[in-house]
Amino acid sequence: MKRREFVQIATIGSAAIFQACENLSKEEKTNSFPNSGEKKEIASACWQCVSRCSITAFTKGDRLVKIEGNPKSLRNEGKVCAKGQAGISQMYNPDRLLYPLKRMGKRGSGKWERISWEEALNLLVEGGEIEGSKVKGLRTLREEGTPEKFLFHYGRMVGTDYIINIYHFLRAYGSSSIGNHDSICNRAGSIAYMLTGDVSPSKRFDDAEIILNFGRSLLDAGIDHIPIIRRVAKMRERGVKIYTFDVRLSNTAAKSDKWIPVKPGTDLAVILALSHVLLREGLYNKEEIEEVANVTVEDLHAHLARYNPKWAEEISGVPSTLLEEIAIEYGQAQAGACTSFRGAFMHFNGVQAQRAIYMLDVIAGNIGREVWRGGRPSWNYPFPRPERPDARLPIFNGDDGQFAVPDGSISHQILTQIKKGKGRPEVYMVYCHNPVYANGNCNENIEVYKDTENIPFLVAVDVGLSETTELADLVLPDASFLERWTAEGKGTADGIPEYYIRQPVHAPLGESRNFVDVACEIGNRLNLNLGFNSAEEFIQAACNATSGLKEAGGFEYMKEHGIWHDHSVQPQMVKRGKVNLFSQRLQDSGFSGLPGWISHPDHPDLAEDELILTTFKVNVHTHSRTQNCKWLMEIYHENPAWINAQTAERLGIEDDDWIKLKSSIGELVTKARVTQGVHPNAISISHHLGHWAFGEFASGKESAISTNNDSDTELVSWEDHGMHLNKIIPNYGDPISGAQCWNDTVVKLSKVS
Amino acid sequence: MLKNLSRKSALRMLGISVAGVSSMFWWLKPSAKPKSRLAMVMDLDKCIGCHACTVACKSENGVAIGGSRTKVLEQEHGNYPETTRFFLPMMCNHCEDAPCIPACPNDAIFQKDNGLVDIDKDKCHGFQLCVGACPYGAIYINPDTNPSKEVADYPARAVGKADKCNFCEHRLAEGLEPACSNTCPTDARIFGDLEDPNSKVFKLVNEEGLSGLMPEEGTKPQVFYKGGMPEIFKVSKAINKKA
Repeated sequence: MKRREFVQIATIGSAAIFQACENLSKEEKTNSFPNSGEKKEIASACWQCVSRCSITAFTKGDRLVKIEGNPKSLRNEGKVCAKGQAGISQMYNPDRLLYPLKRMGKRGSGKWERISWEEALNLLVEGGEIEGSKVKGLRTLREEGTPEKFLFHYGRMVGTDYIINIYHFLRAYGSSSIGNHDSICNRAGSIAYMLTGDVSPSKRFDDAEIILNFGRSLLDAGIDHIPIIRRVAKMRERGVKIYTFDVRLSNTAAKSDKWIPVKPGTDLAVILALSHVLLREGLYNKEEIEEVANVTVEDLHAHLARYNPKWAEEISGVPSTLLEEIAIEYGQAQAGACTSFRGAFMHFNGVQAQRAIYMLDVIAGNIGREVWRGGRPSWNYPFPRPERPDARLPIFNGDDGQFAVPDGSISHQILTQIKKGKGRPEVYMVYCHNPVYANGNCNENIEVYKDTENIPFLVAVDVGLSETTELADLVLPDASFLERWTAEGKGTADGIPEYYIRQPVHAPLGESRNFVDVACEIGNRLNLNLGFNSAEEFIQAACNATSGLKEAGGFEYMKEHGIWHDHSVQPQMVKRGKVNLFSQRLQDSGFSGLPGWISHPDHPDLAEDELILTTFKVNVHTHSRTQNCKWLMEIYHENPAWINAQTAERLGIEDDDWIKLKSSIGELVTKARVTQGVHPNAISISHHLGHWAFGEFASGKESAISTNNDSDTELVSWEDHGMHLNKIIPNYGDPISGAQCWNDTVVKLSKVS
Repeated sequence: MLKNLSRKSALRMLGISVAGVSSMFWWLKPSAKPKSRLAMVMDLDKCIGCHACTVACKSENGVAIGGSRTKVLEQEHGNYPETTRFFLPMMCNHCEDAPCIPACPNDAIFQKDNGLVDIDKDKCHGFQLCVGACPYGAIYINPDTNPSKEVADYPARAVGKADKCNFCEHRLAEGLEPACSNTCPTDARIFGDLEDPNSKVFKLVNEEGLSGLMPEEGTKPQVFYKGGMPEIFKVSKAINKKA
């Protein structure tokens, strides 16, 4: 096809000029109707969220009509959540990217030239000209001996997508300049784990009698959403108690035996006080603690003496009598389990909060002499992996000395580091990620991405024109999760390895392509000798090489069933290594070696009109990638700010009033939701909404590439698409791990008259 | 209970011993099983308000944006810090004395022998009297004025006509349970036959003496609610109007 035939210009905000593929033209508004035709079932895997449940997709003729849970899964057991079922829209939404785009005009001007894949890959690999500026391609960077100037920054990438892109493609290419999204996700927790050692519990979570939940939305947005919901439901039938400590009445808190509101950032004080009570009441086994941990009970007594429940009440607002009761109940239980997530640890003191949770469970005996170790899948990928290259831009640790344990993974600071001139990526590829929107300080992110001096060539691989992708020079349309090959694996609650695959339930729409296949093609162009040419080939080989699965029928078996269980692997009890409750590394960095109290510098002295802004997720959206899914937006499209009724009264604010929040970097106006379900010092706003790009369902605005092919767009009755709080949250990190402090920003609140 | 539920084994969940193909269609052929009464139990202690049912229904029935055959309402209760929130799944109650039936001037709404209340799209003129007659807000008028030519595949999309839950009758015909209960991750929605003493709904409704919403309306609803808070039943009417 001749390029000229396709070159058209579209401008954001105007009616879409592009005509997409013939089968999705404007004349055929399709909604979600099946074409008449043969009904088919295809076993595959969800990828709306990180849970990655096994699904069965139902097609009719050429149309995907329904997604259900795959009943063969021992994880999600035939169930799938709202997000998963709405995943149909990831494929069919009218703002889906369907062909490669090249920027026209300035970055972010919304003007695009449709180009062929041949032109796109030629530009990426060989370099070329973008609006009069010459850019280097991947070949040149390698030839010049600076492969690290290829920066690959991904948001979501697991299973073989990760293995192929990171372990094969990028290693063979020679760049270790790889950014991820860990530091805006659960990094404080993972660094706490790294510093403390293997703290896996001695009994399965499911066998606990009592759960202490610190800021984890288990039933709202768990990282193992449907599987953990089902496990908790079974536990509840057995009468397992759940106490949920959270600044906000999440649905999880509402379904717990008790919601215990805590002032934002003070879970650590609560946890220390619970440990204090266990020690004081003698609810521990000295021998076991000293065998398990690298401290003596005397050390713990000395350390925890000051952290009594009255002290914790002063800080957290949790009544000391309640702390006493819960600690004793927890200490007397045969088996307890703490669970936690961002509510506890994405704070200034988050690493120590998570380490304190480990300390509490060591004292309570739940992290005992032995570890329950369930089986996990162990795929055999029969392709040799190149060595990990050393070449890496020095932009992944924040400022020098800024964080005690940076360990090269502070990706939400990449843009700041680039702005400061610490490293200049010649080719910056953003893959399945939206840093402009997902990091704090959105305006600064936009500013850095728009700077062609610091980032000469910005490439985005995406399924839609997100807030980041719309700033790119070159846009490569990725296959949605329903159009790609991935091998996956997870252990079940009973410790049975579940191997499963994601296979296309439909050919990629338009000219979209699984980026893994594109990486293989780039590899071929650069003679990287990956040893395989596509994701499908890689997964086929893995299915046919993995012991047990091979005998069961390998690739053909997996294509039919989607899932295979290795019942030969049994859970085991294994002896535990030392748990480092005391951390020399932290002590050497000026922190308490045992987890001790750290106060956020601004939190103790809040002014009358100051509140702590906290974030949360709801059960029908992922953080930022499901907002083109119409059925989800219909359920959740407004995210007013939750304010405690007493606080609202004090500030003269009523339900539905317009309010202004002002932080150190900016202000925003939103509506108030006056509630009894949030701590009086907190103001709580969900993520997900307030998109200003991405698509019509997400933002209310057709994107420049809209096919306008869904008649449901005309039925949208809501004008409010919510607001995005990251615009006023600075990009900062906790002083130990550098993880984004999502739940610490102090804002001034005023009523908008 | 629904562990390893395959599409075929959904029958087991309904408490039916499969004696032959004909019994798979008992709800369509009253002669094969003279008496049946389709019903659903909502276990409010188990419902976590996740909306998996809401989306399953939208997808299964091609329900337009703006319409809904089922929804989950929520309401906050109590004063800080003794606050909680409850969830209330709502749908057509397939009432024994369904007020929508006499409300329709064209006799488009009818009840089958198995208790299922359905709308004959050919007879519906879209007068909307049924919408106002239903105390549960379970009926909507399809707002899509531009449905595709494949509308026959999804009766829910008939332009300007009344639509509501029919227990996914097309799934029942295939031996499957309704889309909503099929996907409920906590098994809070339990579908079955009240005339079958072996069914879970029979046991729940009769042994636990469950009742439906708004008994004062005299509709004899066949969707039963288990657990939850007494307040739910008081406020359901009010929050339904608000929603």
